[in-house]
Amino acid sequence: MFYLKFIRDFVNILRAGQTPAQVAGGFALGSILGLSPMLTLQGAIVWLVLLALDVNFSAAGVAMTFFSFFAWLLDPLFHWLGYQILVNAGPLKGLWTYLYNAPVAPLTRFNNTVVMGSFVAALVLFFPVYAGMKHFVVAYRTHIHSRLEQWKVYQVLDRSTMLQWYRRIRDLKG
Amino acid sequence: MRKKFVYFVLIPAVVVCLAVYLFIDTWVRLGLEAGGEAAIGAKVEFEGLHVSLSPLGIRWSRLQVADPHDGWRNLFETRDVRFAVNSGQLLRNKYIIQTMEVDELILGTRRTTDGSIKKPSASPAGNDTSGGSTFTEKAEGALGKTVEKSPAAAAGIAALHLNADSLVKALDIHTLRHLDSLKSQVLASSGQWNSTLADFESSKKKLADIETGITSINTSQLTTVPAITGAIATVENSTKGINDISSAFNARKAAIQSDVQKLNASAGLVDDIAGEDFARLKSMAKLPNLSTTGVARLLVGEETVKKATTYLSYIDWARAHIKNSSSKPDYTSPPRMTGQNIAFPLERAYPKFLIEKIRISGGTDTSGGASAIHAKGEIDNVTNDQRVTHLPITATLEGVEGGGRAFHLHAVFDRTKDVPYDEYEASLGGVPVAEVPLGKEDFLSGKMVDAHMSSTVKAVVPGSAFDASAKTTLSGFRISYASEPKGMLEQVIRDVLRDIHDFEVTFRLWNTDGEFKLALATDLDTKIAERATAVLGAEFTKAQNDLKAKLDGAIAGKKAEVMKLVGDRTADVQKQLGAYQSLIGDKLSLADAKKKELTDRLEKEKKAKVNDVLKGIFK
Repeated sequence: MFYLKFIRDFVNILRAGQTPAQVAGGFALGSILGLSPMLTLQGAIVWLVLLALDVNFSAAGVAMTFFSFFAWLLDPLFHWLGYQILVNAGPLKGLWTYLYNAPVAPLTRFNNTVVMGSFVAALVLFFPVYAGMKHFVVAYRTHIHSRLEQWKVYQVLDRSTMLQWYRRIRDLKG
Repeated sequence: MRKKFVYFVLIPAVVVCLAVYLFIDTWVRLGLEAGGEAAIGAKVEFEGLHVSLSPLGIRWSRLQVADPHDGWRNLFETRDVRFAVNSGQLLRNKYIIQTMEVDELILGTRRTTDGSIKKPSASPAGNDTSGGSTFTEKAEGALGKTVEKSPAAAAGIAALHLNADSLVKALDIHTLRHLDSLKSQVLASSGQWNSTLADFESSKKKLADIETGITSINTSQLTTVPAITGAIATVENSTKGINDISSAFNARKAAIQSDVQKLNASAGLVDDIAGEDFARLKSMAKLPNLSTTGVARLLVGEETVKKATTYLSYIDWARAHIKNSSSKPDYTSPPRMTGQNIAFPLERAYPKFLIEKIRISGGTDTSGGASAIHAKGEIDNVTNDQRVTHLPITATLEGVEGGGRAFHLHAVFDRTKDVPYDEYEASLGGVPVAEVPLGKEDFLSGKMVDAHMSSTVKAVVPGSAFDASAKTTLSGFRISYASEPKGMLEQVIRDVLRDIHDFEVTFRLWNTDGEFKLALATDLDTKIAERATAVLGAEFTKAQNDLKAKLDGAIAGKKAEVMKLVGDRTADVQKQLGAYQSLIGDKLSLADAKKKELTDRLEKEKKAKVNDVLKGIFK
């Protein structure tokens, strides 16, 4: 029920509740956690930020699930990207060597190709994900939801079993 | 004590410890032998290997490492070797040895068993580098071609027996063709000259008429000024007519003289063309040029290249087994979400494997055979990761052998930077060489025996570039041949070589611009050339003279005929041109003299008339 609660909260939050910025912030931070492998120092820091800031936690959870799937799919790309950054980016070699010898930096596992590739991808995607999600939440609340309700397909589906489930999930009390 | 603990923990633990204690020596020996054989490509055998647990270390009484190129010879062998392993670092899975003591290092000892290992690949050393990129592979083709290009190829040094007549018959004699062409030109030009000279004959009549007109003027009979002036005009007309004829003559004379010059020049080429014919005839006869270098190259070139490629394979082995740990790690495909860990240089840390110092003391054990070299010296910083130690592997070895040979080797294997750098400096003196193959199958095939060799080699291998220079002196040898001499020249060179007992070969092998190049020089060429010229001189000159005489004989008849024709025709036309020239000159002189005479007469008459007029006035 833990995930169902997350999904219910997320669907609720899309309609009303926290501000679009809070929802988008949680979703964007969750995307970093979802794209990067677990058990890294930067993962822990992102968790801390997530907990410290007043952002939507459910959106983060959904984003983690959603982007974890993408991370699995895009793993070869992240591996390649990380390899290029760590091995072929000549000017950065000094930095990597310094970090490799630094006391705490190895906890980030930055010298792992997938960790490096996925983290860089997550950072690059952070603002687009944030802006996109914020825009989506605003649009959902103002236009999308009311338009959806007017569609005949929606009205047919509204009576379907699937929607019954959706409502149950939406109205689930934690 | 619990019974279960005793049965399931304590007793098995004791059994395991006992087994380890009893069999650890064998296990370690087998492990080291397997690892060594995989690295060397030939048998590696330890004797008397013992692992001590306190302090943790290993010692053995003998190690034999077979030569991958010759299974019946050891690359090297050692006597007592002992070293201790840093047990603290061993717990961190690192093999750190501070000092390894090697009592004796003996090179090139004979084996009682075959030490070769049958492997799919032909060459055991250095073949696990990236395919097709080893120095050996790159060099083999290029060096083979260099030796093939040797100027004294066997085909060019054949027997010195000649059949001059048949050679001259077979020769396409360019001189004869040139003479035929010259004859045709002379005949054609001669025809043109004849028609030109015929035109001059008609001009001769005109000149005669002009002369008659001039001589018919009797100056003394001309008493009036108008009569004299009319005669002067007649003479001037005659002069103009002569000048017209002279201009036409000069134009044609210039054309004829140009033809004559061309024919003379063409005739002058006959000797040059005959010289070229003789050179080609000599080439057909395969007369050797004794001053050409290359006999020595033919003799020792293949062997030098063979040796060079052998040593290159050692360099390849060093490149393959002393890894450049700072180079880029290979791109692998790990399982999803695991990635690949990239290592960066560590400061103040131990590498996975390190022997800080291998101290080798020389020895006197002669059981390895008289040919073995006992080495002493030091090898430092043997490691799997020089970026951690920041120190290159260095080796300084020197050795002597009872027979008098000695060697010195200094090598540096630097992998501390991105570009690997190897440096070798070696000298080897007084080495008895059992056999050195010589020549080619079809020329001077044989072997050099009982030679003593001294060499100095310096090689620098930065990255994929290579530059090595070597100087080798072979002395005290004799040469035995595989078969009877195949020609007179080979016989002569054999006679020459019989008196030569030492020579020097210097060679440089480099690939700084990508392609392997070999420069091979030896003083043997000069020696052979000097001796061969002295021995062959008379025979060689006679053969050349025979050929020259035959060729001259084939050319002489036509040459004389054509040259006479050219001479006669040109002389004849020149003579006629001269005659015409003097005729025209005579006529012009005659006209000038008559004109002067008439002018003087006119002046005299004018003066007389003036005096008459003055006399009438003052009367």
